Amino acid sequence: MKEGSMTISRKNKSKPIAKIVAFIILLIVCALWILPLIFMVGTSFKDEADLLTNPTTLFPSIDHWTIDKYTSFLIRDGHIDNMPLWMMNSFIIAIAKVVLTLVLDCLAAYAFVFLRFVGKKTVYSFLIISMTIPGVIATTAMFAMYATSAKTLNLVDSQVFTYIWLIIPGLSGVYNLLLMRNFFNSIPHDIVESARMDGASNLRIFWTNILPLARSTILIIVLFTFVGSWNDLFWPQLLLSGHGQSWETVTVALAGFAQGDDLSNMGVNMATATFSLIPIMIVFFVAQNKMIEGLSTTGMKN
Amino acid sequence: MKNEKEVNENEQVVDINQRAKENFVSFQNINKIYPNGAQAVFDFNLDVKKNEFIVLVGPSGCGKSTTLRMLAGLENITSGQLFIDEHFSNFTLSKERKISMVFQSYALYPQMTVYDNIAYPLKINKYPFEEDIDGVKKTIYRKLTKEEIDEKVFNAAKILDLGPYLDRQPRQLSGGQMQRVALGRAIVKNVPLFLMDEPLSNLDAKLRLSMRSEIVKLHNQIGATTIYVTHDQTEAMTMASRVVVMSKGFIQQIDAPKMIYNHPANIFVAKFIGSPAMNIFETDYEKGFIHLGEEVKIPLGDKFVKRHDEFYKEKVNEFENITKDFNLQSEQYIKKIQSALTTDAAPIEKTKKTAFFSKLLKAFKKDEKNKMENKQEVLAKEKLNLLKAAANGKHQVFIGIRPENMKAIKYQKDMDKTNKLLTKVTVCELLGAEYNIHFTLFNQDTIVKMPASEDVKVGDTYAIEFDTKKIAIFDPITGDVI
Repeated sequence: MKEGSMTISRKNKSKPIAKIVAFIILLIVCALWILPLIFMVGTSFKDEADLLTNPTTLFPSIDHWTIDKYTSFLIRDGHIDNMPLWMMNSFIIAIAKVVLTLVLDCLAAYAFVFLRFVGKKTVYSFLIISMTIPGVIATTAMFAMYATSAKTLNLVDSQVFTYIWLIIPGLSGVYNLLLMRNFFNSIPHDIVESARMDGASNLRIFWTNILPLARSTILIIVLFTFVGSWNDLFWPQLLLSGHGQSWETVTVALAGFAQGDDLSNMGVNMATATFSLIPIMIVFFVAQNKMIEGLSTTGMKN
Repeated sequence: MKNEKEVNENEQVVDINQRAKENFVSFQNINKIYPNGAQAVFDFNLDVKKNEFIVLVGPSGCGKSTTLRMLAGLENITSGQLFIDEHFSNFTLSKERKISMVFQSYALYPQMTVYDNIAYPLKINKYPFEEDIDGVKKTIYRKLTKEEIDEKVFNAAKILDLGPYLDRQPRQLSGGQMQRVALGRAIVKNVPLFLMDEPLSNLDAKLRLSMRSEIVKLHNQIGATTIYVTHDQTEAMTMASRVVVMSKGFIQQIDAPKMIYNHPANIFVAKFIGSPAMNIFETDYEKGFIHLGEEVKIPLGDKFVKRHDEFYKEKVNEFENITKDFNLQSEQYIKKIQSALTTDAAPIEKTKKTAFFSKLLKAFKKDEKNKMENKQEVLAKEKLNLLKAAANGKHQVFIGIRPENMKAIKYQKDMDKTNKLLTKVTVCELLGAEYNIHFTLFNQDTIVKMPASEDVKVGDTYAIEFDTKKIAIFDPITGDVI
């Protein structure tokens, strides 16, 4: 006991400088990350006067707190403004992407790991190669395809058609598939073979034996896909420009706000930005807790 | 159109031959070649009767697990025919083969309780029921009811002493309990054929011992046919009604444990079976006598001389036929002989990478490729010459003798030293009731068994005597017993 405590104290004393340096570096990095966030949240609560006199402080001065900026974009002229609508749009796209990505990637990963078929390796290597191509390169071609298809089908004014084009290209990401495949590879194949001998079909094995084990990986994919979709700006902006505000997603609308550098507008900018973060925060905290839970309960003895 | 199709299908149906009819499981000339070109199983022939306990044993990479997986339907059969219960089963889906299998890793479903694990096959399958409907007997396929499943699961749990653990999760169980759950899942299926792939190798030594007898008891209780794969020769000896010894994809011997132990067919079996292993010495044979060093001369009798001459005559004949027309079959024959001669467990399976690179290399060096192919033929010719030389005159043989068939007598100055070898104890291991005494004879470690009542010390001099009736003599060229 005594010896143990001694070694611990010696360890602590041995490199105090290194620890302090590491702490300071971490502090700086954290500050760099979190300061804009605090500034954004703080500024969103400032009133007009404070915005003009103290634009650089993190928080509003005393007596200058207000939530007008939040109410002003939620309710304008007595009726609900576009913000909830934009959030709804973003939400629909994100959920659709999450669900479809999960279905596609889990089934594809199952096939890659547990099924035997001709050309498995070839298909897989093509997918890996496709990862090396930056998404931006495909954008022009994709936009051309969207424009021509919308024109020929006479669906330029169809919101559903445009949204399908927003959702589908995002599903081709190989990263999630890779994540799932790696997890499935860590599951002993004996389990699948045993279930197969017991008379289970592939779909049943997938549903009752494999998916329950993959909970943690599924949550990681949910988190990544949701956040990625919510924050996506480039592609939606390209498709949604010129279609009016009611089609826009949160990021596209916010980008519109940020364009004016009118100081008095800043309060609203910051409020909308803060507001749009809320769903991501919720998803993150829910998924993070469950993720750790999932990781700790799927431990398999092998 | 329809008729044509039927005719085609009929052509594909394989004749159920006599062997398939007489045996429950019949492997006929089964070969397994992996897509990378590595052959894991060569010409596997085995007939299993009902209620037999067959153990496939061999060093790792000898093809025993592959064979079992082919029987289970988890691995394709490259060529040959597999019959299960008089059905040609090469292409039958594994779930339709009426087989249950126990895996080395237990393969329990981690998220399900013990009850759900055992009930899994019962829940998902439909079972036939004979029911009277208006006096007409009909077979109806339906799922089991909750009560029926309960009854079967509780029954299995009772047999395996799993009652208190039914609502636990697999990770809360010990290794032995997990193994029993895996056995439970196998027995509720109520199938006639059990396959076990090294089920005990993840358990600790003591548990392995008790599970060994439990599995045999279970086998007798259920009256199933069991095919069991292991690399542990003790398990093979103690559990099997017949043992199949394999090496490098070839069957070396199929026989009852006692026969395998006392009459090994070749040098590989002799070395592999038995713990401690058989002592093998290189000696010279000349005209009915074996010369062990300079001191010992073992007479073998006229019968052996006759057998010896016939053996070599036969082998020379065989090799002459082979070398005359060297084809794929003869190549396999040489490979089989090589598999008996080497005991190192070099894995057969090449990784894909090396297979690819060696192919590439071969493509560049065409001459090399030809040489490679000829290697076996050169070997065959060499062996033929050796056999011819051995057929008449003095030649080398291996003699094998089990540790319990050697006698060590404490050296005294006035003792009779004829046919005895003097040597010193190098290591002595006490096993409780007996000693395993290590000596150095002809520069190699030799083990002799001795009762524990003797007082043995390292460095003592002993005279070793052979029980000449229990010597096995092997031909070093082919590895076969003479």
